[in-house]
Formats: sequence, C-alpha cells, structure tokens
Amino acid sequence: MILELLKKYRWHITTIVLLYAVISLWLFFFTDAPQSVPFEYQIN
Amino acid sequence: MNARRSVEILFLVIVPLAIFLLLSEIVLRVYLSRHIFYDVEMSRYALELKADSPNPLIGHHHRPDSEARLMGASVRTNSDGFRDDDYSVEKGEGRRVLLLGDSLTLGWGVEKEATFEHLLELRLNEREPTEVINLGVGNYNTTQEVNLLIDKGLKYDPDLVVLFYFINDAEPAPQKSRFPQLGHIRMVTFYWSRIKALEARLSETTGYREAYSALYREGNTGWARSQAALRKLSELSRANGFDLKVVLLPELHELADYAFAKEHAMVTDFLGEIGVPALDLAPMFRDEASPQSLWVAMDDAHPNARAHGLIAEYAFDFIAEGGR
Repeated sequence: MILELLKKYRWHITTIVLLYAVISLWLFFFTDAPQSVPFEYQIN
Repeated sequence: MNARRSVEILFLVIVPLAIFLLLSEIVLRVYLSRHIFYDVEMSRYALELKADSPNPLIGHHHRPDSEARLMGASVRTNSDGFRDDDYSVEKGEGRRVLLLGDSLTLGWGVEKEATFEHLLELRLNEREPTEVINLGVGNYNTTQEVNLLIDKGLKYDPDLVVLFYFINDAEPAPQKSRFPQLGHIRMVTFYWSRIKALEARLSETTGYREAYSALYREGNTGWARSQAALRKLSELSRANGFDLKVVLLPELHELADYAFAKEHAMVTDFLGEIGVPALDLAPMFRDEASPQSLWVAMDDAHPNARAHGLIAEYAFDFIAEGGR
C-alpha cells in the first residue's frame, strides 16, 4: 500500500518537500545576521 | 471521510516531512563539516562536556577530564572539570588566584593560550610565581559561580578570587531540557535557533538589549539573586581570608555609547556598598570602532582572541594590585 501511495502522490510529496526546503532556505538567509538575541544555552 | 482517505492525508503529512528532515539533516551535517553555527556548537557543548551536578545550587558542571572541539577551539577539562591544567590542592610558595565566571571566563571560542585567564597568568608570573585557576563554566549565573567556588574552589586556598561579571549573570539558573537527546539532531537546533533569530528580527522585545536590561528592573528577581550571591562571596572572602575583586566584562554589541552603562553602575555601586573592589571594563572599550571585530563569529558575540587580549591588558593592574 505504501508503494502504491508513493507512486500515486509522488508529485505531491516532491512539491511539499521542495516547499519545506524553500522555507528553510528563506529562514537561513533571512536570519543570517549578526547575533541579536541574548546568549542562550542548552544545559544537557 | 472514509478510512482510506484519512490514511492518505496522514501519509501526505508524515512522508514529505520525514523525507525532508532526513535529507536536510544530511545536507546540514555536510555544511557543518565546513562551517560553524554558534547554536549547534552550544548544543554540542551541552552534550559533550556538561553533566548534572549533585549540588542543586550549581545545576550543571563540566565533566572531568573531557575534551571537545567547540566553536573552532579545543576545550579540555581537568580532573575538577575546570578548563585548566591540574593543580595540586596543596599550595606551593607562589600566589594562587581563582577566576570565577561564565562562558566568557571559560574562553568560549578561543584557544586556551589566548584566553585572558592564561594571559593574566603569564603576566602575573613575570612579577611573582602565581597560579591562576579558571573556574569559568558556560551558562553560570552569580549564584552558581559562588557555589562552585564553595564546592570545588575553596580547597585550593586562594589568595585572591576574581569574579568576572557579565551582564547576563543575573539570569535565573537555566532549566534542563526535557528532551536533551534532540540536541543530537542538527535540524532541531537549527530551527530552534533560527526561529529565535526571526522573532528577534520581528520584535525588539526579544532582542539581547531588552532581555539583559529587564534583569535589572524593579520586580525582577534576577539582580536581587546576584546581589545575594555577591554578598555571600564577600562573606566567604572574610571567613576564608582571601581577597576578592570583581571585573565587569563589556557586552560587545554597542561600545561607544554603552548599552548597559546604567546596569553596570548598579553593579559597581552595590559592590562599593559591600566593600568589594570592582573594575568596569566597558568604558575602556569605548573607542573600539567595530565591536563585531571583537566577536568570536558573526552569530556569536563572545569575545575573540583579540578581545581576550584587551581584557587581560585592561584588567592586569587591578588584579595585580596587592600582590607581593
């Protein structure tokens, strides 16, 4: 069934993945600026 | 809607997301093999060098005898978890100085040989034999710094303790992540970091200036907690017979018209009231034409090697005073 769905929706899937990629690239370049947030850390 | 339609919608939500996360994680890891992101490095710092402390007043500390390459610099901890050589507890004939502080004192993003701790040690030794021990741990506030001194520093019987105060030392103790293992997924750190940056771009209230200033406003307990810790440190100095000094490190965004002059004045005034000598380094950086030239990286305003050199130079006389 999964293969069948992959085949049926391959262009939908490709489009959504590309959309995510475009959003990520936009986020990357739009926020690629000198640090403006306070220092923050993970503890562990 | 029949069951098959529901399965198809679920499929169209989950599968593209899974494919995207997998591909982007691979791409990001390849990118990170040649580039450094501050937030990813901080996440690695937490995962590779930090551990829970048994003392709840400390929260976290460095793993002893550990090593990692973080923000382009090698960080190695000694048997006490300090970024320093091992020192015998028994004191020799020389002077012993302990430095307390957070990631700036640790020397984040700077090789050990270029940290102000190391540079001060070299210069102090030109005058008299001096051991300088670096107790700096990333993310510590004043309360944690003082409690680390009690737990691990006092046994070294210091002659002098210097606390390097940074504007965010009044922050509350950080809470441990509920899902620490997510830090292993670079995309999670990337999105977390970039969404924060996006918020800061769209709203002034989430930026560093507002966040740090707010710690010192009436009604915020951050500065009150720092005051209590500084008072306790002063009492410790009297009870244990060591000198105590405080150096205020500059926040490296706006130096000509220093953004936190009022907050630094609050700290130095308070230290004056409790009789602790203090030196504010911010005015000494006023003529730096390009603050960013002092940063570790564009996305990381920690002091770089040049800034560490200036800190050591400007603080030297103040720290050396009272020596032999």
